[in-house]
Amino acid sequence: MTETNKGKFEYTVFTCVLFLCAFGLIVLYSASSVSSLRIYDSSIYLFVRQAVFCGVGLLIALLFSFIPYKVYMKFSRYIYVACLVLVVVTAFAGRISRGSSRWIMLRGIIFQPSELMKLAMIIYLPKVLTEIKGDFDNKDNFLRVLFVSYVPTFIVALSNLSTGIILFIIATSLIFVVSKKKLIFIFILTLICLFYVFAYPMAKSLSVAGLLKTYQAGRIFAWKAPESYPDIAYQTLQGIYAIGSGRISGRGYLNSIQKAIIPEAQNDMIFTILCEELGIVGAALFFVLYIVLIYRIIFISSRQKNMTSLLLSFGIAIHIALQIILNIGVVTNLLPNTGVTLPFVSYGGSSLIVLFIEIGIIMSISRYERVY
Amino acid sequence: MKIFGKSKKTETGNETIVKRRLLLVSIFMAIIFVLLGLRVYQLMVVDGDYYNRIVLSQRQVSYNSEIIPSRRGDILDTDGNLLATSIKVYNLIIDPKVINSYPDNRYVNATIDALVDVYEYNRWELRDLINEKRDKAYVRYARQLSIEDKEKFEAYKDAKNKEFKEKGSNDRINGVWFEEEYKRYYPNDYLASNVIGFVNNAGESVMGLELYYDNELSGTNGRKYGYLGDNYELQSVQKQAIDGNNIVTTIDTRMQKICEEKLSLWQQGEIGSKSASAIIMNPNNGEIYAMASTNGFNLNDPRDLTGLDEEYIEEVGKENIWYSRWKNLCVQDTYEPGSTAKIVTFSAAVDENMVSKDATFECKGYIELDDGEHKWTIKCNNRNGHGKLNLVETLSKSCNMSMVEMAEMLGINTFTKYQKTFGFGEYTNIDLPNEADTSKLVYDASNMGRTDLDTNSFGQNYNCTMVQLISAFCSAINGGKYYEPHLVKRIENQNGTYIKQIVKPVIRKTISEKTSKFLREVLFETVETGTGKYAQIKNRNIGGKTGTAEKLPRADKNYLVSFIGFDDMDNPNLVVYVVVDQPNLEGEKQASATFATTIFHDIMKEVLTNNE
Repeated sequence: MTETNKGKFEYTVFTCVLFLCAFGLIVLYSASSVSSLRIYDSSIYLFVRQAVFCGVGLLIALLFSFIPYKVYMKFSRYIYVACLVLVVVTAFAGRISRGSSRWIMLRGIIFQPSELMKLAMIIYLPKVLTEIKGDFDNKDNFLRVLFVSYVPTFIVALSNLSTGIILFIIATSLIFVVSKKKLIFIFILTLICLFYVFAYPMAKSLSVAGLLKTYQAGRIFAWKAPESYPDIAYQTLQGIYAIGSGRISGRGYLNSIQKAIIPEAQNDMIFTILCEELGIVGAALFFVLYIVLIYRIIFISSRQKNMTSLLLSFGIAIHIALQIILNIGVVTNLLPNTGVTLPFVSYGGSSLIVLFIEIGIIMSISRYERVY
Repeated sequence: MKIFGKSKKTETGNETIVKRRLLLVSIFMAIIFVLLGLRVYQLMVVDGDYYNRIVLSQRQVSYNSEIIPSRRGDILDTDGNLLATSIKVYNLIIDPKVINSYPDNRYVNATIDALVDVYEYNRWELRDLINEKRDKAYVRYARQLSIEDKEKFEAYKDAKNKEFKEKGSNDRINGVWFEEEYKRYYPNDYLASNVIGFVNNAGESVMGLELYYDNELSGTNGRKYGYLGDNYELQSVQKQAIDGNNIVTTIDTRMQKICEEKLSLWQQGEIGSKSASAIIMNPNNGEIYAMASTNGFNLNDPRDLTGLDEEYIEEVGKENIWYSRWKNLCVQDTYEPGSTAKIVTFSAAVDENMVSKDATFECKGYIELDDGEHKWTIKCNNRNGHGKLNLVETLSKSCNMSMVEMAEMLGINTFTKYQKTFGFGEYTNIDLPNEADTSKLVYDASNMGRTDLDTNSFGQNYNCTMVQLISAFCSAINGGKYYEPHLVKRIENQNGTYIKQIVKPVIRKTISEKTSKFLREVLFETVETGTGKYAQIKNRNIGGKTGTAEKLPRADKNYLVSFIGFDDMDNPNLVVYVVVDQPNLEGEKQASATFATTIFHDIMKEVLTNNE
């Protein structure tokens, strides 16, 4: 029954990513032109950079697809430890280098170690979970999983809450998949739901009672009552206007009015310009591409015979899905404002490269897997 | 469960549970995607028209009609010389629709001939453009022409059209017009670039005074509205532009030039450094006369990177180089001050009557600390020890051990109280953007340990900005009055009529008049006989203090050396502070405050010479 899939190229995933990049660049050219001109005196500066990143990224993905994933599973522990060290160093070097503690600079290239941490977690946690064979009653196992999952999550969350949340959900979902327990997960989910529902009334009453200052709860207020806090909610409000004004067929490519006034239009807010220019038709196109991509990755994951590769590919699926959910959730104001990029579309080098590596891994798993 | 392939046992033996949970998570994500889709549908289809109206009504404010640009205010130095100004320029607009409006091409050739004759533009390019964009009414062909250029074309056009008329030809020059705009111009190019800041091509102020005083400087654009009157005649209404205000700064161009010249002499000299900066301030009112660093740039071309190696630009990144040049080191950069900050410890001890003037101190070159668990040794700058010192000598010889002793007499609570009173860890509220936040870079009484107290006593282990230190120093020598440092003293409208005088009152008292007077004597002694000898100027009673701080990480053995001093002892009215960051020397050779002291001496001497 068992046969290897050797040599088979993962067309579905690669084609989806190719289209996403191509359409993404088209949207980015329009969305970035204003701020590119403003900052770099050239309207194509950011576009050209992103195009180079995409090109390099696709090559990286192809390269990774030819490396059997077991090779880097072997080094996963060192990758994880190295990333953890980087994350710790950036978190605590803030005081000495007295800058924002999210970024690190190597040979002039700035990147965020927290982005790499996501990748390290997705690679290493499956290995740990496979090794303990779902036995969480053993105290050592339990503590090990707890450490591997939540120590970096916590450290990252201190300086970059949104990435912390992403790490938390990825780790918790993977643990959920292999664990036999139920109650604790229901409890966590309930807690999240309760927070979602009651965050605003709680923040409101605390601030009325004088226990919370407006600026501390600003994000929550701006989220639930944007019209009452137009200053804090400026980005959110203008984003929603942009999305809505696209209506069915959009204002037309390059015709966005809002891109001149939405901060970060090329970055976290790029979906708003996409909707404004291309309408719900354009938005649906991206939705379809994303759904096909994620469905395909989950499909690959589900047919894995090997537990590690199953979890590895599922972790990647969750990561990509989460970025989309959080990004679109924020720009449509279903979630409070936090900076998450839209995969393959938003401007930004480090998140893009990490995504391409993940795509390469998926293609490698698909190529070298043993299927039934 | 067909989408997940056929079920079979996996290695773990829990295959059904794992697959079931995989499915569960996937379904959960699918539900969220559906919700997102519904939300997008709601925004775009259900409420789309509502949001579209908002967007269009917001837009009306900025489009719709012709804008009359307002003129941005000037930035002037203390004597009224221009530091930044706005000059009127003209954009040449071509209207192909008008030019092509007659089938006999009566405008085309005449207009193209005129543009080629006057401006020597490319004939074929113009022809193509006018042909290709025949349905456009607005093509900006050239930017920022001078008024002479504009008048030249208009005179040519009038003369030529008259000639056509007399000849009875139908040809006319038409479809070319000029759009007014203001261009920011900085007459001195590099002078005080990090302080003044600039306005980019999009008309937005990016940094410096331009940004901080943007509300004062920028005016309100006027507008020409067009509407159809009762008889279907086009009426037009004008709303005049309101020009921005001028700001008169405290910058003294002469002193600023002296600072920049001396700093660049050092920087271009044999040794040089990573960077060097200087501030000149009036201790009696907080006015800053000069603020200069070696990282300046040409305000008229802030993104110019000529002369730099392509490879270097690629490696570091353009924007990183820009930002490092634009940064105002005196306000945005923090560092450990070193011995110049000993004035805090010293004046606190004197002010609190902890030490009498005949007190003596014994320095054996190091001190051992012991908290029961660990032991440390803190060394003095003189490794062999200063031996016996009187009170004046503790500061004039810059003895670390005596400062430790004084700090311990004061105790953590009193010491941190004085640090705070002198403004460390707080914003000075100088009128420049992006002042560094040092609140997390100093200790407070609750988290300061004994070692921290000891190292703080001689200016290590906490960070400050240059403007913080000079403001603290000013108050220490002017009788204890802390003034807010500032760069703008007056705001006027563009006719020069006064609008607002900016006077900064004394914010708080740092030390007593008596302590301050004593400190001046000690600082005078420091220059006369102590570590600051190189600062001496003939016939002047200069006082001051050197500083040598080891930078983090300590293992790298990099130093920041500085000198702060004033003129003159009895009646201080000028304070100069010079910081040299990492002289280009190996390790401990950097640790000579003489570099900074010499620059101080040169600046102060020249400033004083010309003052008389």
